[in-house]
Amino acid sequence: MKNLSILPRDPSHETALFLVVATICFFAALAGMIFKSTYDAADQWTSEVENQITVRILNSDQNDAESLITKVDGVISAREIERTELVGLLEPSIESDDVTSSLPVPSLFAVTTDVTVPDVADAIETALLNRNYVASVTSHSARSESIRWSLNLLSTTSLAIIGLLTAGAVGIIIIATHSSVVSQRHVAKVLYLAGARDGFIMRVFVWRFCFNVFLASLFGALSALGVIFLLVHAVTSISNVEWWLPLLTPELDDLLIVGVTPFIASLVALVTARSTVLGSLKKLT
Amino acid sequence: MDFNPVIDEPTLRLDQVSLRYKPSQAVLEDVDLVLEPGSFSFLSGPSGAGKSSLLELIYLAQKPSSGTITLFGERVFNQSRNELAKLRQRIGIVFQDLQFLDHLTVTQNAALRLQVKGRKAKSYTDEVEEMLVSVGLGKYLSSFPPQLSAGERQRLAVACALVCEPDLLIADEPTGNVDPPLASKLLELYIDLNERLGTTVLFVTHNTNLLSEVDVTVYRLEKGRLTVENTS
Repeated sequence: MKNLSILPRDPSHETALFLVVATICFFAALAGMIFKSTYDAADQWTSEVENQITVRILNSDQNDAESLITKVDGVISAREIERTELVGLLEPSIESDDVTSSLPVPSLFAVTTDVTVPDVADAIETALLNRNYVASVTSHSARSESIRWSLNLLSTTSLAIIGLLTAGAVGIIIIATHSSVVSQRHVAKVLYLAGARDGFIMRVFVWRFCFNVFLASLFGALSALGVIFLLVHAVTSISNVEWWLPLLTPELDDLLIVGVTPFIASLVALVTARSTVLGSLKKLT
Repeated sequence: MDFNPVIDEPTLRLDQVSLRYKPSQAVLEDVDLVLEPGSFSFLSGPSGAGKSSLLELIYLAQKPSSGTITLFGERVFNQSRNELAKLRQRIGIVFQDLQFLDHLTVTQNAALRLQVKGRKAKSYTDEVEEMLVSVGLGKYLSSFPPQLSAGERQRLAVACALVCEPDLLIADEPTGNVDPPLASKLLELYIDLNERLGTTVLFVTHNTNLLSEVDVTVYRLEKGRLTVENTS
């Protein structure tokens, strides 16, 4: 005789529960992965621009600006942007070789700085002024500040959405557990009358429930990963949308989200199911 | 299967037990009851007399409003739910509305109490089948409860209750839904088990014909008060 599976299968309740948990975990995992990818991409881009300064020389009768800039404390490198490079940047907007070839293009330097050294932009401006250059120094860190602010807003919003989805999942799990116990209360009563301890009865319900939630949430999270892969595939096969790519590049971290989601969902199921079953048992008996 | 409990104390003793759901409404009033080890007793009374409430007190699903309950020599007082469950494991219960798990076979249903006690399946297969054979269900080991007749379901309930060799067997109207000849046969089964295993039996019934069939102590419960009608 095999050890008994005490709780009978309840296809109507269990199928409904599977679909609901899978759906909610799909959205939670998808939100998590999109949030992570977006944050990473924006963070990487911010880090890149944070240490960049553009210097525009307005009087160009001298030619030692590049070496002057390089000698300033905190400057890692300085490079004069070639005219062809500048014209190349303008061409898509102007679309006329005649116009771009006759444009007066300023002398521009792309400067990379050490972000740990303060006031590098002011130091460059002072160094150039001392050698009678008329220069405009633009630090990109001002823009990165607004990006950081946007990132914080994005993080808060995304975490709030994930929090709401989690709260919804917890609520659904509580309702589903209670419904499951009530629909099978005769099993609890039979076990109670057979002298089963609360812990025994609780385990009969909770393990089944946790297992179902684990499977459903794994299915939901894997589906979310599948959707991400499909989007990446679709985006890479379409031209002129390269800016999407950082947002939708599946990485190891995304697999971590897929792996963690079922465990979090099962843990939530375990805790809520346990307390709901015990509460229901006390009412039942 | 021989089972002869050696208990000096009464199996069950109720002293001045009262139960009130509302202060002014006594369901049970000053009930005194003693069941000696190995005894067979009837509990009779009309519907609404408080029989079910008394049984709930005996199998520890309720606490009395006043009075004391002593079960297997242990006073039931402030035990935890787990301790009460352990005491309950020594009581076999057969209800009128029989409690089976319909997705389990007859053998699996009968083995449920042993599984609850933590016994491994391999260790109890033989004794469960022996118990089922002893109540006349040897042919139905692999059947499911809905496939059994009313009488066979009653026998299964008895087997389920007795498989753990309880010290006390409570049968709540076990003949309520069966015809008179079958009721007599079921009563014979309980008496036989009582004599053979030495299990203390409290047989609840309002069937007066059954009461006249055997010479045992009959407790009568009416309007919450318990009296002894016949002492064997």
